[in-house]
Amino acid sequence: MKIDFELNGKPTSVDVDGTTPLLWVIRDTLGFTGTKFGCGMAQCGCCTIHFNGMATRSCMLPIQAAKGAKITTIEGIAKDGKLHPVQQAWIEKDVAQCGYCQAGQVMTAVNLLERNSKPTDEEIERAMEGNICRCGTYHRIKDAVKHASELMNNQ
Amino acid sequence: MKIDRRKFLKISGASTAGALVIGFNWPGMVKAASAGETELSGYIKFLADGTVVIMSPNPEIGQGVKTSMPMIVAEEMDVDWQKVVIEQAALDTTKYKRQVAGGSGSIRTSYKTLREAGATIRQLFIETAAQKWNVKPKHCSAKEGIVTHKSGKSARYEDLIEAAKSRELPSGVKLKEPSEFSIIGKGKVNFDAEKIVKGEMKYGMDTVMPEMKYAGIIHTPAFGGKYISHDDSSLASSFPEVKTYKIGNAIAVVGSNTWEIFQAKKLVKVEWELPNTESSESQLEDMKKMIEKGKLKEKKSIGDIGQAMAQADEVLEANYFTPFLPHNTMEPMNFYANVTGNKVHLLGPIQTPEGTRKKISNDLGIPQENITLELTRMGGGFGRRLRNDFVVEAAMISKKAGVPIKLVWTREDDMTGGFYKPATLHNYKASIKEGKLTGWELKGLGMKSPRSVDEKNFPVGAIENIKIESNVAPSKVTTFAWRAPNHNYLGFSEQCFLDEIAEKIGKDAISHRLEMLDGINSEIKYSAAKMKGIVEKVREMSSWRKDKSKKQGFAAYYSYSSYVAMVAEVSEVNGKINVDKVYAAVDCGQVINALGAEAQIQGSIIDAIGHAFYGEIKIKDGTPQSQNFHNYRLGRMSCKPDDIEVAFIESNDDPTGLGEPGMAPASPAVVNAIYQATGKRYYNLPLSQYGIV
Repeated sequence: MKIDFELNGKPTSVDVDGTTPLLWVIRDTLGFTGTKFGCGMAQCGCCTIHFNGMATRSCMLPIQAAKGAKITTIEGIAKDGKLHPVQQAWIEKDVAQCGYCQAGQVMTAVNLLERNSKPTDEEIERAMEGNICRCGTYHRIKDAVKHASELMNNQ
Repeated sequence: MKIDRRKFLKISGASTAGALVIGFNWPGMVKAASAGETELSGYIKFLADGTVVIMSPNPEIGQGVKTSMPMIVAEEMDVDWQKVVIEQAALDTTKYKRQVAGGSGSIRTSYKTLREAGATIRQLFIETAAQKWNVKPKHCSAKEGIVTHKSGKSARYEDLIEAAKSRELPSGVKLKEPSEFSIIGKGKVNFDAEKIVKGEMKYGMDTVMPEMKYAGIIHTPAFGGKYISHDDSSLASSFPEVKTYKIGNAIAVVGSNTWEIFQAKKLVKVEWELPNTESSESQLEDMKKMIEKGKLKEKKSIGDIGQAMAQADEVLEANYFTPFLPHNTMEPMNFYANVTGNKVHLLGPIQTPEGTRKKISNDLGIPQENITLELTRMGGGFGRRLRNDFVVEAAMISKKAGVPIKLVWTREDDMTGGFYKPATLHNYKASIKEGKLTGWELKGLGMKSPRSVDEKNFPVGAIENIKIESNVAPSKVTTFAWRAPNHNYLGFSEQCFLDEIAEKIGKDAISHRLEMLDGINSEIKYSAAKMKGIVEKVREMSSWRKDKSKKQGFAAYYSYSSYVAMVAEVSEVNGKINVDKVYAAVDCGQVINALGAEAQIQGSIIDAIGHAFYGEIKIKDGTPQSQNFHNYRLGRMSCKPDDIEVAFIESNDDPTGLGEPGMAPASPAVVNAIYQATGKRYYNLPLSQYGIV
């Protein structure tokens, strides 16, 4: 079936089986591989994207639910060639080890800070609990979220 | 050793205009590092705009070598780090040595050679400039890519490229004194950090190649299962283009995209012979019986353990169990393969490219020189990608299907079809006489693993009477190296038992450890002085047991050539344990990348605690009882310590690795602290079975 939606600010149209999860449309059909496959059952957070402004797992969301939706992936959060403050903070705090889960972590953090620009430690931990990192970068993730909050509030 | 550098370092004849390409290659240079490996080489390009391209030979799995190895070359070359660009090298045994990510060995085995390479290039530019200016090289120096004569005259490396090309490479170069380091020991952000946060970093999972098909695989559901037959007739209506192939003991499904093959796999009916009746309970019983019946092999015997036990005032005994653990790299197994006639192109994430190429060559009967293997950044390794089973599958599928394919495992394939950390049972006995630990008896069993004890490590050498025995407990469950193999679970049991012994003797755990280290003889494979150094350091930084309200636990371990001591502080809130803080003191010799080194220790602490809290894969009828993260819990942010403080002992000794050494002491430090907070000792992992986490 033909489905129209907005991807990273651009009108996008695909013709695929409507039950295909959004993740695979983004990755295989459209070639945006920044959004990662980790578990396929919305448990690990690697595939996190923004769906109408909410951090959402894309691996279980059928594409037919995306009709007319505004979708943002990791490739779409830097604006006009300028890194998003969360991306900047992630680099400055040297968060990534293997890096595979980090696109999902960044997308969750961006969404948290959009909703709550000065989260407390507890709020950060609660928001980030759904994103798994086997390298164990949680310590720096938390630092980076705080740093990003400062960067955004000083803009 | 006198080395003729002209033989192993050469300026490439293929240098293009405006660029200088230097390959280096030194026979005999690193013989001392590891017998049988006699060659290391690298590849450095100077571009006319001043950019320096350094190839990073070793696979990057998140341990940071893609940043730290080039830092070593750049330091001795004396170039501006801002102008360094790093590229991942493909497998090339004629150029590079030990292209392996494992055993925390990348930095340890290549430090000197990388320094020599950098220093030779610096000297080349100095000599080139000296000739140009008609001055003596010894009156010239180099810094951040600029050669300067004492008169003040200076030239950039990039402006010396053309003249340098016609020179022979210098010999007898001098390495920097550590006090002169300006890159080594500093903190450099992971070279790929920006690409990672922009989603631009390509992992094996992201590979897309011309004409590429997608492949899935159906493995036996139980360990030890055997393929009998399969029926793919129901594919015809939904997925007419999808084809199946028998690959070894599995069925491959080949289609046109990932989701299609995931769906198609579910429609293929496979009949298996499943004779395995093992369960977690039966495995534990089997191990207990093996220990009871003394089905063990002697690994070490010092003094007279029988006499020590007989004459003891008190004998302490404890059994410790650790479960099977899957690796759970965040990026499931995958690989791209294109087998065409007598040629193979492989691309993907693997910790052991050289061994993998050999295996593919043997299995497919294709000469190694016809096999190209390119490496992608890996979404974690932890030992899983030391195995090449999935690469062999990918190559076999491509060969049978006659098309280039990317094999993609699902999370379920990955979690249930793995090579787990072996389940272990350790039985310890300690004899105590007149307030002294006089005897130590360890019986270790690993499920399908020969590694469950370490007879060359502490406390061997520190106790008068020692007996260590071990054996392999039979199982059909496949096991393999898992981050800090052996030490990750041996460290837990041994360091917890030592804590109990110190208490029984009536001594403070750290004071007791220092006393033991003072009594060490030559039986031990490491420096007791260095071990004492980190133990004293962690005692100081944690203000050990000065504040009685802080419930602290201690552990220290020598693992994969580095020394790590930890103090954990925990608190109990409503019956649940919170890890408030972990202090770590580390001696890894010269730190290369301060930021990366700290990250490895922080990550190891969190990784080890997460697994000690929740990690476990149970077996029933030979079948793993967890398949995905809905019924297997990996550590999430809530289990990280509220704070982590890491200190590195200042040292200019040759560096050792950090990917694994932080694992062993973390869980026992926490479990020992839990005892301080709750008065309860826990002998089995994971701790979630006790309802305290």
